[in-house]
Amino acid sequence: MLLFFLACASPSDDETPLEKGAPDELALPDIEDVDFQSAFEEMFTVGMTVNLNNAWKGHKKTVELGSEGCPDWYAGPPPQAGDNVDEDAGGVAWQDRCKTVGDRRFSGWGWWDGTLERSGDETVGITSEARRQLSGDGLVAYGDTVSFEFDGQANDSIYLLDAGEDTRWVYNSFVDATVTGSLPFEGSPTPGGWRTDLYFSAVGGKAPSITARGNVYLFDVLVQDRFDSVVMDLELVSEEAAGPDDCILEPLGTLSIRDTNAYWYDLVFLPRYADDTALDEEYSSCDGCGTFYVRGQEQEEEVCIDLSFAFDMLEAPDPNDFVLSVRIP
Amino acid sequence: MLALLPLLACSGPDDSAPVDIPTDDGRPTPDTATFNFDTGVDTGLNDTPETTLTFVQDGRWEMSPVGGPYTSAVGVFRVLEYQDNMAPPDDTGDPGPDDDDEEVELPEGVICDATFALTATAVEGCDTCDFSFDFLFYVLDGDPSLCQDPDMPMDGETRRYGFDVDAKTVFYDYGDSGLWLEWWHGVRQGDKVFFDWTATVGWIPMEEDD
Repeated sequence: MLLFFLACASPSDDETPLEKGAPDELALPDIEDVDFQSAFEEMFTVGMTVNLNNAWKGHKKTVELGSEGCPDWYAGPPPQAGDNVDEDAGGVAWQDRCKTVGDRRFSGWGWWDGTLERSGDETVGITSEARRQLSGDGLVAYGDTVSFEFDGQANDSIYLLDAGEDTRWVYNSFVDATVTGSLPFEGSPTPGGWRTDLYFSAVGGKAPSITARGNVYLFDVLVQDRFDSVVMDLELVSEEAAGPDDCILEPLGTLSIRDTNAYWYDLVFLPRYADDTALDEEYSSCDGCGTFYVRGQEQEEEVCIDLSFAFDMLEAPDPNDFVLSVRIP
Repeated sequence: MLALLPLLACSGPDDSAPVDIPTDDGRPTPDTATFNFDTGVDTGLNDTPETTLTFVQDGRWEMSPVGGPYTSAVGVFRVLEYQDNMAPPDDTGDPGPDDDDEEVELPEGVICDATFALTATAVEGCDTCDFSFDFLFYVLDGDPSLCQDPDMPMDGETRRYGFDVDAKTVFYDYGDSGLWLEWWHGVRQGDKVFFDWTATVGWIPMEEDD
């Protein structure tokens, strides 16, 4: 017992405490050749594709690839779901560790549920409201190729009013998951998939707007051979959706990208909330440019970007895709 | 064991020699966060559910007027769900000793056993359907709320179905959404359609409250 106290004796009071001093200034990378305008715009474009609607494509194809007995289907959450899904959540699931007759291997589990409701008619417009959830820790592979991997949870919803030429919709998606595989990402701008905790919301129709909050890490795509991650915390309104005090030349909030050295580059635009107006004067101009930081150090030159192209990319998910039935397997 | 305790308790970095933050020397830093796909060797295992749930749904429509075009239908729809291999014995059709007013206890392993009467009027249906109806479900026997099929009809509910004779499939207008899903296998015999669906899936029985 004495040995214990001896071994753990603290330094005597005679010893001089270590001078800590100011931390060394972070070294800045060589960024002379980097086109930050297009880098920020490209990473934002990639971020817009990170949602459950795209992950669902892989899940849906996976379900179609099953054969009799592989995977095993479950009514409600499967045993491996544990606390990830409420036991009375209903829905449908697969859980197995098996190989199909087509040599497709299933390992793990996946649970999902979806609803779709429509109302109205052609005279007043048809309203579609759909929701779906996907949870899982599953891998579907063919040989050494990952067909679809989903590890985490996600949900999304679509509200679509189709009144002829006056079509409006609101899409919300939250994905907290790792998603990879050839099925969801073949031909996409992110062929290797991503890991994310992104909330994405888009309003389409006559007054489009976009909101994005969260992180995205790309597994094997490097924008400009340099950047692999993006953090978005911003709101973007179109000219049609803007109020008298809104800025349409730039988003509100921040957009950050990371290179493979784990160096972060931040672009800070107008503040999103009135409480933030106490920030520096430079933040308060609506000019399409953001204050540029490299590894947290403010740069003299701003970076100006144009995200107006994002509204042309907006496309409403098909509400019918929110229901995935395995009714007649 | 006691002698090891002090070593374990005091192990750790030497505070007197802090590690410097590395400076950028121009060399690319290895990205240790790269995700490795899990493509482990197939073990040949085929996990199976500990508990299974079997859905048995069948019924018939009797359409009129004879020979069509049909304007209405009546029918019956039965739902039986049971755990593992505990299918109840076939119903002989003989009247049981139970009184109609008494609640009949389900046989062991049977989750639900309910029968509906159906009445229907013809409607415009799915593109491929030969005829479609709005069916009113009326419970004749049993408690459908015990059933685990998440798409069970309830007492008094109206649902739209259509039948494709060539595909031998009953389609269901999911939630009146206009999305027609394959729902039951079916066959037409004259002015009648017989349909059924059976599936066995894994299931976790809910624990009963004390």
